[in-house]
Amino acid sequence: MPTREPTIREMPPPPHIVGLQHFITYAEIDEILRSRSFRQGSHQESQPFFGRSLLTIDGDEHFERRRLEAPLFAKAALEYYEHTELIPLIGKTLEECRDNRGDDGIVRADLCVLLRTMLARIAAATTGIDGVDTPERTTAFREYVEQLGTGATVEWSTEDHDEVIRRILAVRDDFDRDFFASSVARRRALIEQFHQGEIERDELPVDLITMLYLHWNDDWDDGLPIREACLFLVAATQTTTHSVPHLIAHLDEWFETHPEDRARVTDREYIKRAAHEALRLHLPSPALLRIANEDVMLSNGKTIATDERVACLFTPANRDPNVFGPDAGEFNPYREVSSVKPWGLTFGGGEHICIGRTLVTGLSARTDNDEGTDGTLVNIASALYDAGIEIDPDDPPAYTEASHHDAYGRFPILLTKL
Amino acid sequence: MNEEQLHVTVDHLQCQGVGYCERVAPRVFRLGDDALSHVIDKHPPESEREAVEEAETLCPSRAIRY
Ligand code: HEM
Ligand code: SF4
Repeated sequence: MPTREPTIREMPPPPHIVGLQHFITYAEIDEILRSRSFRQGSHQESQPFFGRSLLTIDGDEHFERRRLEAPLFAKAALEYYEHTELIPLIGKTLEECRDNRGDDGIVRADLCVLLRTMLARIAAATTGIDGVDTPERTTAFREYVEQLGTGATVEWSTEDHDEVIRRILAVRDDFDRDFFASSVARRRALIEQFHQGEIERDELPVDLITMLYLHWNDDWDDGLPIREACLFLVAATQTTTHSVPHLIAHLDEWFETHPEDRARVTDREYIKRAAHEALRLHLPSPALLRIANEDVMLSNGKTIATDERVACLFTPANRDPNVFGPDAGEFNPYREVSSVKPWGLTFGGGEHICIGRTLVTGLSARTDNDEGTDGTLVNIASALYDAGIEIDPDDPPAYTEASHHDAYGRFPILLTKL
Repeated sequence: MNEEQLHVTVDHLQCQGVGYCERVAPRVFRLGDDALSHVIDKHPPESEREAVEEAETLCPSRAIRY
């Protein structure tokens, strides 16, 4: 029997944060993220990709941008998006897998590739990129987003950083030519029609690009929309693609010791709780950096000097027994937490807290509530269980070699009910 | 207008003290020393409706009801 990687992996801190003061408890990180005495400290080298985007600006400029983009995540927008875009896109992507039926009649797929395809389409819809439809176009788009992701996280790269930036800027020009420019042109024409009174406001698409051009700010440079779009594309795809395989791996392991729970995969409330645990244990962004605007003393007496850059390590904080109980390092879909979010600090905190969180985890606290949405994680996992997902017993999942991260690089599955 | 009167609440189990609400609707919300948002006017006048609606949308924790 081939051996499986451990579902909980010990990770050394990534090299670019060595030498910085580290914070590892839930309370101190929460305090730093919420404090107005700090500013964004991540993504300093990746400015050509994320510069002046929502993630890298602070203070009033950040607040105004957040106000501008928040309507994308309003209740009505999320409901529209989940029912009109997300659920059909998940179904379409699974349908395409039917072409990979083996001689034994079973459909096989790599969950990592499947998720990247689904998420590329989902991210294209929220960002406002047209033409991500056929499998060929989706693959081309997905590859662009993956490359842009490499540029946006150049700080973590083991290659020469200047070389990475040069290469990925050229890739971005191709992305502009193949997808971005025409998507912008279509939206600008619609906005013009709206200004001329030819169409109503609610006939405009609900996506980031439309929002930016509808509320254009003359202080922005012409390159801002593509950088903001890159942020949305990378932030939306890489994170969810990271989380779903962990959810499936944990549930598979849990069912071995709790076989009575296996039938509960059709229970969306159960999947939601399991998803919160997977989010808590496996962070797509395991470390966030902040810079102090002034000398700071935290409630626990630790001090940070003006302009000092500090690293907040989320993995230990999200396994803090003082917050999540004595079994904090383990997966338990029945965990009850009070006073903090069940996913802990996975979506960050303070002003830069993830703007897309409600897309991922849904609006309603419970899934049996007609109001609101269940979010991408529950919808994707439920669709996978409906399709009869099983981890391929002959070809176990493996972590990617390319990163310190606990990210799966390949995750072969069977879809026995397709 | 025959809109129902506003009745604003913040769910303290959800609030993460980000404070966006106070910035868009300072007459209705105030961030306390406990790092939670407190409703200082539960029934604000109709003129505050737009600000309260915006606070609800901006709130990353979806803690606001009205
Ligand atoms: C599992 C899913 C996700 C996780 C774990 C996640 C995590 C995070 C974290 C930790 C931050 C804070 C970064 C910082 O403070 O420096 C963040 C910010 C952000 N996320 Fe997410 N994210 C997820 C999904 C999404 C999605 C689906 C979108 C877009 C539709 C998105 C868009 C953003 C944006 C635009 C920011 C910047 C917000 C700001 O700086 O104000 N994320 N995310
Ligand atoms: S915006 Fe929401 S999370 Fe932030 S303080 Fe107000 S109610 Fe709390």
